[in-house]
Amino acid sequence: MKRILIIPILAIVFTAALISVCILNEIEWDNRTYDSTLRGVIGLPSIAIGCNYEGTRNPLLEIFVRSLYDVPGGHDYIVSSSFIESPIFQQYYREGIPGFNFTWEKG
Amino acid sequence: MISRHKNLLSYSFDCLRRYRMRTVVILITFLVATTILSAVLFTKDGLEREAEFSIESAPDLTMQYIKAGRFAPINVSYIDQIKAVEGVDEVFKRTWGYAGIGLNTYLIIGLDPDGLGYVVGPMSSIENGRFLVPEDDGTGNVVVGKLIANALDVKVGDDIILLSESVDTNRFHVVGVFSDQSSIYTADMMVMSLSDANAFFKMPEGTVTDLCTYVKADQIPNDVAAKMSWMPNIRILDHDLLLRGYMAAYGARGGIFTTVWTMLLVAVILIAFSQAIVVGHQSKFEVGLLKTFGFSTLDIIEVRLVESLIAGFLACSLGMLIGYIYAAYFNAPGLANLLLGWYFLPSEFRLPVYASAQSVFSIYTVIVIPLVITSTVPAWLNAITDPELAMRRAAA
Amino acid sequence: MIEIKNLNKTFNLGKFNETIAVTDVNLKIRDKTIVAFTGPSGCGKTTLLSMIGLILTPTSGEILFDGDNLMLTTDNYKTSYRKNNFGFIFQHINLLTSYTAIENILLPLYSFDMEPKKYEEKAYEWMKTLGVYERANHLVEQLSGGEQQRVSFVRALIKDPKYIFADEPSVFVDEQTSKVIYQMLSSLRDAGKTVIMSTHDPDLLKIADEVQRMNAGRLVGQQQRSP
Repeated sequence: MKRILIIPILAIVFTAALISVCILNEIEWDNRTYDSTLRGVIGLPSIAIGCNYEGTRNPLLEIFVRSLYDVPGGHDYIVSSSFIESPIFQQYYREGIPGFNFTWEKG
Repeated sequence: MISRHKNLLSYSFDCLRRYRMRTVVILITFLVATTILSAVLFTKDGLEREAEFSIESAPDLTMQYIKAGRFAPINVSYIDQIKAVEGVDEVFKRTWGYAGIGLNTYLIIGLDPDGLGYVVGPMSSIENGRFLVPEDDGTGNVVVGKLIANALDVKVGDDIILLSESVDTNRFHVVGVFSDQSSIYTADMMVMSLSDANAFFKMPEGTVTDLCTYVKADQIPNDVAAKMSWMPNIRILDHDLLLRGYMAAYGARGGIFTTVWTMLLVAVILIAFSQAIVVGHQSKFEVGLLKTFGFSTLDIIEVRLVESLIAGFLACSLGMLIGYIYAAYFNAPGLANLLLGWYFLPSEFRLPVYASAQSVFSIYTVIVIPLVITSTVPAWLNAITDPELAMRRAAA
Repeated sequence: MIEIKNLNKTFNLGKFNETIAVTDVNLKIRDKTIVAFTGPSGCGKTTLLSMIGLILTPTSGEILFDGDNLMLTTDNYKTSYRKNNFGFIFQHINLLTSYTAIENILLPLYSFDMEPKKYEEKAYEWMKTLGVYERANHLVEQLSGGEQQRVSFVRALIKDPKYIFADEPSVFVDEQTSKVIYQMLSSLRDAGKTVIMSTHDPDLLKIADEVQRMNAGRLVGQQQRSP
């Protein structure tokens, strides 16, 4: 009898452990304040994923340039960066395919 | 009633032992699938959550200058115009850019001394030394992240020399080192005063990289931004735009992830189904026999349901635990580079990992439900067949 | 008493391989008797036995147990009736090979609202009676055919059923086990059980109170043993 109880017991133990990890993780993220002052002072979005590409911490530019397989200084850089001219108040552009940001088109 | 259910439970547990091969195949397959799935999902969610944190702390509006479609330094004279807009509380200057040290690129940030006291709260992200104060303006004092500190082997009190783009040397004095805990944000960062950054980057006189605008507490940033629409060549970035941009970065990878997820799901269902077929005859005979003895259809469904739930939850839970440990404690080697594309991931910081309730529930649903269906539906079909026919067909 | 009225069974009705297994059977089976069905292979004995045992649904007809027509009841009712009143001994024995003898015997009790272990002692007593007590904890695949059939007898009797259905109980067993079976069935009848069996075995036919001959799915002859 002991032998055949191992699997269900393990199932319960691992599930309980996972739920605990999940709860602790949620609490940890919700209570995250240790670097809030630092982030507020620096004010720069993005995280420290270093790379050789200058667009890393440049808001938005990296997305468009990358999606158009371009690098700064290249021909399409102008095209890609012009997409984001005054996007907040003009609302000229919409995503051709929702969810795919490099399909932006006018209208 | 309780005894009967205890008996059925006991029988279910024993089925796992009797159909040993099937149980092992299902456990191993589902374990591997869940481990990969959860590692990818938890990492992706962690990066998205981390990006949300960053953007939350960003200025309400970031003002940048666009010239010929390109992002260019902005003249500080815009500050007065911006401050004059109704709803604006403060505007601070910021200069930032990249510097190469060896093969790697680091981030240099120059902070406006007037803005250092704007954000209130304890600066707990410093491991050694101190953060900048307004008096550090123009002194060459810097605070560095762990990546730089380790790469250059520097500590508080040391001096470092960096080559700028114009190939002159610049001496800096380390007054603080950021903590390991904050390294997801600061690992590649060097923070200095605005004058020092402007001098380092040889910024044109009176220009900075961007202007950090903070709106009053009772104002909506979008509304304030709309009032600035008349300013020529100015790009205004609010939190939503920044967030969308960063979500798209991980979202594109997420597209790959969704494809992987779909393929895994199909594989999982196929394996569960094939295992149901493999033990099909034996199981059919068993169901016929149990029905002969007086097990009801519901009893048989209960037995198979419990059996598949136990196997499913064991494999799933263990897989997710392994996936979480792999991502959170080992930085997901192999997977992180795939997920983040061509970014490199320095070993100085831990991947942000977020095992959300939603993700855990999604994985359970995607993995356990197909297994339960492929176990209970055939059992139900056999249970509603005449027992004699079930046993006879199984024997055939 | 069991009453069977106009019972028919056709397999694959309406299809190209339609098979009429049992045709128009009418019969009354008194309680506390042994009734044996005999006939050539394929005459429908097992099919008839299965229908009376409520493990095969007839195409048409009625089966009444003490006046209740169980053909009009739900599957759950039939299952419950089987659970509380029937014991089965199969031609192919039908034990679960990955279980031990004692585990197979106690298996029918798992559907009841009680601890199967409470019947262990009774099971061991029956096993001693049938001479398989020493093999109680052996896996079924380690038992001989005769031992397996004896174990299946104990399994059928563990619930103290009112009706015992035995399909060719002596066909795959040795002579010694056959004798045990004859004695067993007689004593069950004497203890007030009703035994319904199908058999070719002349020695089993001798102990039957009523022998029904079948051919091509029909009852073609009856022989009653004088009391």
